[in-house]
Amino acid sequence: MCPRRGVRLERLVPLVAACLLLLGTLSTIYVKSFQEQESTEFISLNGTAVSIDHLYATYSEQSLETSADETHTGIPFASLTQEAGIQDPAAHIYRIIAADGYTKEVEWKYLQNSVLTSDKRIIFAQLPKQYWVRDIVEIKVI
Amino acid sequence: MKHMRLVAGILAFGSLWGLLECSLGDFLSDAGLPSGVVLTGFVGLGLMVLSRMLYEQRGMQLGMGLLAGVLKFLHPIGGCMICSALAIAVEGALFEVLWASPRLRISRLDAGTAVGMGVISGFVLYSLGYVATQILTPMVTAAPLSLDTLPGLLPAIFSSATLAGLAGGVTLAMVRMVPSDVASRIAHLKKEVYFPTASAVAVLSWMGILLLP
Repeated sequence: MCPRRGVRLERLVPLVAACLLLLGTLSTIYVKSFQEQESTEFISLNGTAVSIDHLYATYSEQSLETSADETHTGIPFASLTQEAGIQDPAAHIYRIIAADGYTKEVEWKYLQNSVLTSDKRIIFAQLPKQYWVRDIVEIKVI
Repeated sequence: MKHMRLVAGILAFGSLWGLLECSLGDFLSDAGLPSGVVLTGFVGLGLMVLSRMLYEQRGMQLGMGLLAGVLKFLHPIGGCMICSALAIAVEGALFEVLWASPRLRISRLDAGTAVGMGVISGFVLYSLGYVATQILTPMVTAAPLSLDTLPGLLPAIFSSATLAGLAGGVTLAMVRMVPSDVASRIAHLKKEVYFPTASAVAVLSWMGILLLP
């Protein structure tokens, strides 16, 4: 029994490894073809393209201290909703999308204590780093 | 005595893993390299495979992962690293599952099977570790758990996991090159040498973590 099992293991492992690499390669093709967006100096705010320079020229920067005692500086998210003309911002959930397709949905209660940094990263005072989406290309109101 | 040797091994390897996670993460990111892929495929998997080859003891790598995760979480610089800490602990647990079969003795695997296991380990540790942190972090931190976006992330996760899998294959090929007699000698060092060495590695790693800029 043992030698037969050994042979099976030697065949099975490379086969599974090859299948995983194939899955990864196909996923890469899909991501590059359909999910990735070109990173530019603009962010789409609920359908309106706004430049980072424009945001920094129009609104005041604010310092934000996170729960990990780090301090970050950027434009408050409330200014972004103002720029996008969103009525009653507290009534919505916001989908934040990065250039690589990474997406997080966040409620206003967290976003009101957040800033958008000059390198297009959103920093939350009360949420862990998993939510700090980098290289944002789009913010949708849902 | 065997248990004490194992505990000392967990302390040494787990602490070293924690130090490398704390020190290399930001450096790799700043250098534009995929830090998650490198830390999972080379560092974490490399240390777990090496320790499994030296000690041939199941359960050890789970202990290493838990210790390295705790050290990552306690690292005073870099703040809330709960996501990374959870990922490291999950990687330790996943390694135990993947390498649970007693037939998977690293020193006795042929080259193809060893590299194949490296690819599988790198791919699974990265992708399932990533998914697990997306679920566990909100639960631990009381942040909102939104699973709706997770399916959309899977292609990107699998894409990065491919690199981690390839890194894992290279790691296994390299670890396998350690001669088995050398591995056996390291694991069976005299206690007068073994325990001070293991303690020194652990303490120096902790000091390194505390002193890291």
